[in-house]
Amino acid sequence: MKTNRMVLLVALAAAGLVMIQAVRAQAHAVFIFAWGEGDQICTNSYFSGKSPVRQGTVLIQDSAGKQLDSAKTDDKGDVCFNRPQTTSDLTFVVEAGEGHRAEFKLRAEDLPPLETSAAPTGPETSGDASASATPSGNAGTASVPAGSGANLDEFRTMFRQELGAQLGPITRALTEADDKSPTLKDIIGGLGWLVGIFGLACWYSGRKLRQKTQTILSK
Amino acid sequence: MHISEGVLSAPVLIAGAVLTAGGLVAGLRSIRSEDIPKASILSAVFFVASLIHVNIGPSSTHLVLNGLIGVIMGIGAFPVIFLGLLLQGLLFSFGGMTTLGINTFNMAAPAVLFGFLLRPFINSKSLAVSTIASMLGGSLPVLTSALLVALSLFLTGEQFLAVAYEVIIGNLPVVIIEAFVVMFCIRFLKKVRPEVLEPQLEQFPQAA
Repeated sequence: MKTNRMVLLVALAAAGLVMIQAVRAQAHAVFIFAWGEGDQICTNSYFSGKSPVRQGTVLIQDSAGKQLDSAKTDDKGDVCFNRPQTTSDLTFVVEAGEGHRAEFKLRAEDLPPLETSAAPTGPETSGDASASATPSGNAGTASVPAGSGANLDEFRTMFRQELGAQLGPITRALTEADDKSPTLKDIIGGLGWLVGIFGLACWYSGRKLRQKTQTILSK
Repeated sequence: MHISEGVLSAPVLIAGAVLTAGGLVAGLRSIRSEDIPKASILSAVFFVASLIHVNIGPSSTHLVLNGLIGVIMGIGAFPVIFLGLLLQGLLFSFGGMTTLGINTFNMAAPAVLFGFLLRPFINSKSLAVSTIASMLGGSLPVLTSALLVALSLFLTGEQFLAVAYEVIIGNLPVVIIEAFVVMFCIRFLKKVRPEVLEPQLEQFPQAA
C-alpha cells in the first residue's frame, strides 16, 4: 500500500509539473493568417504558442490551385505580397518544413481592390502639380483642392493608403487574438477524454470477464 | 513529427493507414484487462508530452516519448499512440485526421521494434547494461521516427537528403533528452513497480 501511495504522489506531482509546462509551452501546429494592408496582402505564420515561422515558404494560389507568387517569411513570421492581378479567391499556404503546412483562404471581396486605372490617360494631365507630388503622403495633409474633381482617382488611392495604414494594426491585433494554440482547457479536456475511454475499456473487459466466469460456473 | 494535412500523397497516406490498422488490431489484442490502466496512463503521457518544448539553438521541437511506450507496451504502443494522436489532432490541430494513420505508424513502429529488441537488456541484472539499454530505448525510436517522417516526405516527392537532414537535426536535442528521460523513468519503474517491465508471461503464475 505504501508504494501505491508513493506512485500516486509522484504521478500527481509529475502531472502538475507537466500542466504548468504545457501552458507555457508551444508545440508544432502551424497556422497562417492573411489580410489586406493598403494595396498589399500581408501574411503572418506561427507555430502554436505564437512562435513565428522563420524562413518558411508562403505560396499564393488562386482558386484553380495555380501558384501565383511565393516568398520566405522574415523573423517575425511576416511576409507581404503585392496584390496579384486576379479576381479569384486566394489561398495562402505556408510550408514550415518537416511536413508542417497550413492554409488560409482570403475571399476575393476581402482583397484590396484592383488598380483598374493603371494608366488613366485623360484626367491626369489636368490635375495640378501640388496634389500629384504627394500621392503617397500618409500625413493628414491629404488636401484635395476643391474643384479639382478630376483628381478623384488620385484621391481614392490616397484614401485607400491612409485607410490601409490605419486598419493594418487592427487586423494585426485580430490575428493575435485569434491564437489557436492549445490552452489549458484543451489539455484538461483531452485528459478527460482519456479517462472516459479508460472507463469504457475497463467496463468492456469487465463484462467479458463476467461472461467467462458465468460460462465456467454454469458448466 | 506530426505531418500536417495536405502534404503527403494519397498512396503514402493509404499505406500508413493500412499499416496502422494492422498495428491497432494486433495491439488491442495484446492489451489484457490488467494492462488497461497502464495503456491509458501512457496515452495521457504521450498526449501531453508533445506540449513540452525543447528549445536549443535555432531548432525547437517537443518530446515524443514513443520509446518509453514501446518498452512498456510492446505492440500495444499502436493503440496508445493512436489515441494520443487522435486527441492531439482534434484538440490542438497537431497533425490531422487524414495523416493520423501515417503519423501513428511513424511513431509507433520504431517504438514496437526497439521495445522488442531492447527489453531483455533493460531487464538485465547488470545496472550498466540496463542503463545503456534504456537510454537507447529512449533515443533510437525518436531517431527512427524522424527518418520515417523524412521517408514519408520523400515518397511524396521531396528531396530525401534535404528533408532527412532537416528532420534529424531538428530532433537531435530530443533524441538526447529522451535518452535521459526514459532512463530515469525506467530506473524509477524498476524500483517502484518492477512488474510493469517484466515479460508478460511471468505474470501469469501469479495471476492464476
